[in-house]
Amino acid sequence: MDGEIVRLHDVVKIYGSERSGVRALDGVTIGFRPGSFTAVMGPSGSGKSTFLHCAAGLDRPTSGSVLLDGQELSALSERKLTELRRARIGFVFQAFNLLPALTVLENVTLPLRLAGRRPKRAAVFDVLARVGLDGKMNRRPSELSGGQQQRVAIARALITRPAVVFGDEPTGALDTGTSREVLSLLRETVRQAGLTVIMVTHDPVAAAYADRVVFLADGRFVGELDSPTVAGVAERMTHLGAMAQQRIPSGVA
Amino acid sequence: MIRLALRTLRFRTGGFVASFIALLFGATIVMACGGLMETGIRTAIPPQRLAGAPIVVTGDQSSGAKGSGEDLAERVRLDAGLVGSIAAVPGVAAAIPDVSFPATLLHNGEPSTPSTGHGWDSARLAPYTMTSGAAPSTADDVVADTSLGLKVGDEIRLAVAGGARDFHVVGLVSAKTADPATMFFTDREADTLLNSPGKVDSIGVVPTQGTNADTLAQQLTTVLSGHQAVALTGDDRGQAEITGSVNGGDNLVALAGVFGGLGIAIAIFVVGATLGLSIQQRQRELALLRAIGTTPRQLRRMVLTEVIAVAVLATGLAYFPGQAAGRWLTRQMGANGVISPAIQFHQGWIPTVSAVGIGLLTALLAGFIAANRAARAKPTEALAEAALPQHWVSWLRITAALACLGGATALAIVTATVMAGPVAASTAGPSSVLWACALALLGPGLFRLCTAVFRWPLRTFTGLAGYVAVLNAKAAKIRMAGAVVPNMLATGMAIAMVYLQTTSVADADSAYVASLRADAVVASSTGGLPTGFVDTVRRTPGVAAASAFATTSGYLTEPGGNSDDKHQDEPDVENYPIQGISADAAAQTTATTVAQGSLTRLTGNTIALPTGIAADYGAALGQTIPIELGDGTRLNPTVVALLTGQRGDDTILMPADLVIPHLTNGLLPQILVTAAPGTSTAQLTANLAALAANQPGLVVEDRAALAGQFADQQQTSEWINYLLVAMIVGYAVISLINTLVMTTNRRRAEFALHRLVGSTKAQVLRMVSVEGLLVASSGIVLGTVIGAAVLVPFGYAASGSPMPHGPWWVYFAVVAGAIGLSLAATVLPTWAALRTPAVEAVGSGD
Repeated sequence: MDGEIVRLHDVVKIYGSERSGVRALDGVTIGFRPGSFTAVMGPSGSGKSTFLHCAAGLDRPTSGSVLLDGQELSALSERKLTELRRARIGFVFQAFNLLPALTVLENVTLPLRLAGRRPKRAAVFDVLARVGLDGKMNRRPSELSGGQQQRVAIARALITRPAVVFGDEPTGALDTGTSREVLSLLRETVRQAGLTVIMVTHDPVAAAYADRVVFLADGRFVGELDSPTVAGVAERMTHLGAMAQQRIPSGVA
Repeated sequence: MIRLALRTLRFRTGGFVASFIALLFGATIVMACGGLMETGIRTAIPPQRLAGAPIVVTGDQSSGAKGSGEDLAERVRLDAGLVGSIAAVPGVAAAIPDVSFPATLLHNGEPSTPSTGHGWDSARLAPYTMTSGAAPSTADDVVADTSLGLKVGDEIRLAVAGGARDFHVVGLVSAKTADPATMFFTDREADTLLNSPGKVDSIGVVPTQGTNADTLAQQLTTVLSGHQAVALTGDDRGQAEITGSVNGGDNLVALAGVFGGLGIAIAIFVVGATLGLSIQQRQRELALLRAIGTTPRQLRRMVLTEVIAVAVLATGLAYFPGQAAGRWLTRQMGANGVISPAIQFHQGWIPTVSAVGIGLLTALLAGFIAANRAARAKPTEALAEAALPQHWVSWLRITAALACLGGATALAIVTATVMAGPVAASTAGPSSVLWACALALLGPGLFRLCTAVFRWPLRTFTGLAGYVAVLNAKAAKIRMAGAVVPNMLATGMAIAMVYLQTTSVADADSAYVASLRADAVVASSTGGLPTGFVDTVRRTPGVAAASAFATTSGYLTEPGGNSDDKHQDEPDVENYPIQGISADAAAQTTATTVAQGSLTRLTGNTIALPTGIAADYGAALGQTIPIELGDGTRLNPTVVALLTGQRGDDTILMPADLVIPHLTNGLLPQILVTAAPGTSTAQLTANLAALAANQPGLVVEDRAALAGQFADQQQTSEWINYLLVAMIVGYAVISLINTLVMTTNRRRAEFALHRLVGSTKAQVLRMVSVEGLLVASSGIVLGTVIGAAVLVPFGYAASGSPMPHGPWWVYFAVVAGAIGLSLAATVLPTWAALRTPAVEAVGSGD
C-alpha cells in the first residue's frame, strides 16, 4: 500500500435511499502508483463514472475511504476538499471543458488564479508549448477545433503540477486521429513529468495507451491487464458485456 | 474572481439582459415614486400672481390639527390687522394684502368665462402691465385681463359673492403668466366681495433695498406668532395662490408611498426570479468551475459581482426613465385634478440616491439567494449531461412560505374583522404581495398539482402534443414553475388591484346613492349660492323640503391629548368628513338614521355624531365636544344627536350656517330638495330651473344625474390609482415575457432533437403551445386564488359582501391577456429557434 498516490478502500456508493437505492459501487478496493497511467474500463452501468467521481473527491462515497497522497478525503469540508482538488488533482472531461468567456491563456491559468496564485509566465508558456498551443493563447474556445480544445483542457489540468490527472472519456467526443494525438500527449506527460493519470473510457483503443487497464462490472473490479493491447482489451470487454447482458441492467452509467 | 465575473458578463450579455430589464424597470418605478414623493413633500408651486413679493405671508394650513400631519381642508385666512403690523416691521418696504374670489363673467345671464377677482393693490405684485385705461376707482369699476377679450368701456355682468352685479371695464392689463383669467376690483370692493369681512388671504411683503428676504421672513415670525400664519419665500410662495389648500401634496405622498412600496416588493420578487433562472441555466458552467477548483465561496462572490455590476448599470440608467415617468405622472395627475396643476415635479438627490440604493439592495438580496443556489452546484454535474433540477424543497423555502402565508392570513383577518369601509384597502393591498410570495415559494409543488388537474383535459383535447407537453411539465417542474410564478404574479396583481378599485368605487357609489334622499339638487357653476337662497328654494312650488348641503372636513382630538399644549407630546388627532345641513329639512333630504336625540335641534352651535365616534371621544348627548373646522377655527358645539350610519361611514353633521362661513369661498355649494307629494321630478326640476333668472349659473340636477356625476368624479380620482396599478401589472407582465422567452430560448437543442427524431415543425410548435397553455392556466388559477384571498376579506370589510364589485370583463380580459402573452412568449421564440437547421442546433447544447 505504501507509495500509492490514490487508494480506495471498500468504497460503496449508493444512489437514492439506503435500502431501495442503486449500488453503483459495491465495495471497491484499489490503489494507483505514482507515475502510472491507468485506464478504467467497463460496460455501460458498471460504475465507471461513479468510481471517478469518488476517487477524485468530486462526490462523497456512502461508505469506505478514499486516500489521496495519504490524505483521507471524507474527513474534509467542502472548501478544504475543493482546495485540495485545486492543488493536487487535474481534470480532463469529455466535452464542455472550457469557459467560453475566457481565452485559451485565461482558461489555462484559471486554477492558479482561483488559488490566488500569480501564474508564472515561463511555466505557462512551457505548458502551452507542451500541448502545442503556444501560438493560440489569445483565441477563444469557440475558435478552436475539438482536439485543440481538449489540449487546452490538458494544459489546464497540468498547470498546477497536480499529483493526479483524472480523465473522463477524454477522447469520447473526438475523431480517431485527434484521439490518438490527445492520448499520446497524455502518455508523454506521464513519462516526462512523472504524473499519475487515471482515465475512464469505454474505448479499447484509448485504453491500450495506458500501462494498465482495470475492469469494472456491476460496481466491482473484476480484473486487470498490464501492458494492454487493443485486441486484449476488446476481448475482455466483449466478455464483460456478455456477462452484463445476462443480468438486469442497472441503468446507472 | 471579479475579473472572471466581468468577463462572463461581457461574454454572456444575452443571459443578463433579462435581469437588466427587470432591474431597470423596477428601479424606474421606485425612482418615479421617490420623485413623486419629494414633489408631494415639497409641493413646489412657483408663484405667478404674487411673484413680485419676495415674501408672502399666508394662512398656515398645517397650523391647526397638530399631529395629524394633514393640511386643513379650507383656506386659513389672516386678520386684516396683520397688514399694518407687518408694514411696521423694520426692513419692510410694503405689505400688500391679497384676496381671491370667484368672479364669473356672464353672457346673456349665462356663465361664460370663469375668472378670479382680486384687489387692485395686489396687481403690482405680479408681472402685469396696463395696456389701456386706468385703475378702478369706484365700486363698480373693474380692470380685466386681456385674455377675457373685453374692451375699455364695456358694460359687463359678473357673478360674484353668490349673486350677480353690473360692472364697467375701466382698464385692461396683460399678464406674462399662465394664470387663469383675472379681474381687479378696488381694494375696498374686493374686501366686500370676499364674503369674509376683516380677513385677507395673503399678504405680499416687499423688503427694503438691501434686506435679505429669508432673513426678513425669519424676523416676521415674531409678528406672526399667535396668528395661524407662515411667511413663505421662493417656490413655496405659490401655495398661497392656490385657493383653498387642496393642492394634493399629501395625496401624492401617500400614493407614491403605497405604489413605491409595492414596486419594491415586486421588484425583489421579479429580480429574484429572473436571477434564479439565469443561475439555473448556467448550472453546468458553474459545476465546471467547481470541478476545476472553485470553492463555493468564490462562486458566490463571482455571482454577486455579476449581479452588482448589472444592478449598478441598470439602476444608474433608470435615472432617465425614472425622471421622465415621474414628470409624466405629475403632469397627468395635474391635468386630471388629483393634484394642483401648478405643482412642479421635483426630484432631488434624495429620492434618486434612495432609489438607486433600494435597487442595489434589491439586486443584492436577490443575488444573494441566487449566489447561494450557485454555490450549491455539485462538481459532478459538470461531468454528466446537465440534469433537470428536481429538488426544490428546502427548510428555508418552507419556513419563508409559511411566514408569508401567516402574514397574509393575519392581514386578511385584520381586513375582515378590524377594518371597516374603504380604509380596508390599506391592509388588503399589501396582503396581495404576501400571498404572491407564499404561492411563489411553493410554486413547483403547486404547479405539479395544477399539472395533475389539467392533465386529463389537455391529453383529451390536444392528443400527442398534450401528451409530450405533460411529460415535459412533469420532468421539468422547476423550470415550468419559474414561468408560472410571473404569470401568477401578473394575473393575481391585476385581479386584486383592479377589483380593489372597482369595489371601492362601487361601494362609495352605492353609499352615496343610499345616503341621497333628495329628489333634486340645486348648485351653482359660479362658485356658490348665497346662504339665504335656501329659503327661496323652499318657497318654490312643488318643494316639500330644502336643506343646505356643504361638505368639508374637520379634526377631533382624542381625549387625553391636550390640543392647546403646543410643545408637549402631540395629541392624537383624526380627520373626519363634515356635512353642513339645515336642521328643519335634514330628515327628509338625507338618509341618516338618528339613534338618539334629534336632527331638528341641529341649529346654532351644535353637532350630530355617528355613535362610533361619540363613543371613541367620550361625547354623550347634551355634552360639548371640541372640534377644529376646515379653516382651523376651534368650536365647542353641543351634541344634539347620535347617528347610526353605514359601516365605515363616519360623517359628522353640523348646521350649515355654522359651517359655511368657514369654507374657503364662504358660499353655499348645494341645496338638497325633496318634491312635495304629487310633484314629479321633472316638474320639480323645471320649477327650480326657473329660479335661474335671478340667480345666474344656477344648476339643477335630479337624482340620476347626481349619482352619475358622483361616479364620474370618483372615476377621476381613481384614475391615477388605475394608472399606477397598470404600471405594477405592466412590470409583472414584462417579467412574464422575460422569463418565458429566456426559458424557451434555452431549449433550442431540445427542439432540434424533437425534429431529428421525426417531429414536424408544427408538432413542436403544438407541443410548446400546450405547455404555454398549461403554464398560463396554472398561473391564472393561482393568480385567481391570490385575487380571492385579497378581495374576499376586503369585500367583507367594505360592504359586508364577500363578492367584489366590478365588471366581469376585467377578469376575462386578464385571463385572455395571460393566455395570449404566455402563448406569444413561448411560441414566437420556438418558431425562431426552429428556423436553425436541426442538425446544427442539436449540438449547441449550451
